[in-house]
Amino acid sequence: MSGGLVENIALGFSVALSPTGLMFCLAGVSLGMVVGVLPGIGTLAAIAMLLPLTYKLDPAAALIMLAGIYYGAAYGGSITAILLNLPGTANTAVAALDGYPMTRQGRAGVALLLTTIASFAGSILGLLVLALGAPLLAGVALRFGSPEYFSLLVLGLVCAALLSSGKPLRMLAMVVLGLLIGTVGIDPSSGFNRLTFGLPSLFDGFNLVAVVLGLFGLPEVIRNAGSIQGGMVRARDITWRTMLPSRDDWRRTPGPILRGTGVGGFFGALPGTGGTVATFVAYAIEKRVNRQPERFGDGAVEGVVAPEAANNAAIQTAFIPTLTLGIPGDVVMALILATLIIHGIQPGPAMLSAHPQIFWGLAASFLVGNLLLLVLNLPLIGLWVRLVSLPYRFLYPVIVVLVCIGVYSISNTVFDVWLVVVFGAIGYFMTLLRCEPAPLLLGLILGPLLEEHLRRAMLIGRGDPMVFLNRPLSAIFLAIAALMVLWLVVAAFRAARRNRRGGIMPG
Amino acid sequence: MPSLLRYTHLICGLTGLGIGLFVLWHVNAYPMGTSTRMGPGYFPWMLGALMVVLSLGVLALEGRGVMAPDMPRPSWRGLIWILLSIAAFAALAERAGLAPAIMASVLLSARADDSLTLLSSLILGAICAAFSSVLFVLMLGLPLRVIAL
Repeated sequence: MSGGLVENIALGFSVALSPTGLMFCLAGVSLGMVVGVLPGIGTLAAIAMLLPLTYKLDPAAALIMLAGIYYGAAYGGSITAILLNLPGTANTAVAALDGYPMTRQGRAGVALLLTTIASFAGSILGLLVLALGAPLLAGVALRFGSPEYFSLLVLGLVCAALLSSGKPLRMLAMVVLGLLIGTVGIDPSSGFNRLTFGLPSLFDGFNLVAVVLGLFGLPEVIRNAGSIQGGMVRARDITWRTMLPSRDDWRRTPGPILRGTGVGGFFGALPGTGGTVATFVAYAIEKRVNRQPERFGDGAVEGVVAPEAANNAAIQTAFIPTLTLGIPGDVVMALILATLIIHGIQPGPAMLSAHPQIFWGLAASFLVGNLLLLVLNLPLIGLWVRLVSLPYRFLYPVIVVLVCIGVYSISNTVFDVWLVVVFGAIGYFMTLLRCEPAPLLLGLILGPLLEEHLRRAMLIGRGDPMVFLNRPLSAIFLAIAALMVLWLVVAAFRAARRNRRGGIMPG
Repeated sequence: MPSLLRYTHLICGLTGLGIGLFVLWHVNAYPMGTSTRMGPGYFPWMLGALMVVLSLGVLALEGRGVMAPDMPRPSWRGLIWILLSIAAFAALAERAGLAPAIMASVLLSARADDSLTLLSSLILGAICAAFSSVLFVLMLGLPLRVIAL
């Protein structure tokens, strides 16, 4: 650790409040709002498209901007989820369950104001956890050796597969496929060409941005082209007066915000899980603890506020494992991790002391960015609603062009653009076959790290795999992962037996 | 086609099995090394074997997957035009220049949606081409010519 907490915070604000810091923070959160509001552009695709533009930036500025897109999109996505029942991002889908009914009851203003407050509160509390927790975790992780890292990576990948919405075995196979794709290229330790089939363009491995845009960006565009209408929305009469919550609303809010933040903070900090899971869990908990669960789905304030707080808290705490362990919680974090690596910074416990300006600058920028969002969100609500009414038919050809240019610009080669075509087709078929691409992407990004730690650990253990079980922390990580896989295999066996007896099971 | 896509576990399992077996066969030629000093083939071989095991598991256990009622029908039209649009960009960007590549890309991708007329897609393409040429080539120094004939 370099310096005390106060010095670190001062350092952080000196980065975040510098003219470049402020500018990229504002650019990030505004872009995030736009991305969140517009249906048909995911956060991930947006970050992937902008990634090439950040190569020439200072790494702190690049990270501040990309992170701003992430949490900005969470604010923006909740606006359309509440007003139009059109969640702009997956994380805000739950907010529509009770948010949209509130809109239909003419209480859209209240819902928007309270979610904004909840998002802000969740972010700030999550940020506190980040600022206090990351240095602690980094301190512990500094003592990690390769066996611990390997086991933790395995656990993270297993979590990513099992906590996604797909069928578990299939998702595990997707992780392995991602790991395999990650081995393509020149093996760093032997210089041997692996799975490149003599294509020089593959010697450095698959271009990550091309894969992300192909697997995530294109299927979204393909699905939405011709089916999203848009243009039917009108800025409803949302005035400051209609935003005023009743005393009853105020009374109902603080509990859900705190519980939501707790849930979000927890799930965000787990490697392998992200905000989407947190929002569902937060909603379920509110429904359970509430004395009138029947109000949920019918415009219950608690059902809007808790998931939003959870989502925003999870986004903040998701940076903890990403920055201190180098293990991302979800795909967006994986991309942020990749950004750091591209800038030559290895995320991990040493990062906090080696690059304190990046970590603390980023943390301080979260506070600045959330304040900016508070200002951008409500007063400009008319603008955001008008943005949704932008017809998708004009939007998606522009997205396609931006994807092409963005991918080309990474290493100025059309080979990468062709890769987008290939991975776009694969990604679309994967969505049809219900193979979620997220676990694959995590495998792809973490694969090289996993192999390196496996190699080193086996070297330490003189070729004996018991090295993973002789160390207590490593053994615990592996045991949790093994229990999860075991539980899933048993569940799959049971489901298969039920199928045979009872015929077809949906899903 | 949707009738075939119902059997997602068969398609996934067989594809995975194929990939796993291919990797095992292909990687067999790589130096394996020992478990203490792993060669370049060691890790991919492990992954290939794991892939085979998991794919067999998918085939054996995941039962028949049935399309959920809320699942959108496959949009072949969107798929084909969007992919063609990107392929056109890839084919034209270096040979013909950024502007023609963007024009072709917009015209092709616009075909995925009925509601865009030829005239409006031409206008949209022209705006995109002009804007991108100024922003990316002139301002950000993207090494592509605007028009190369």
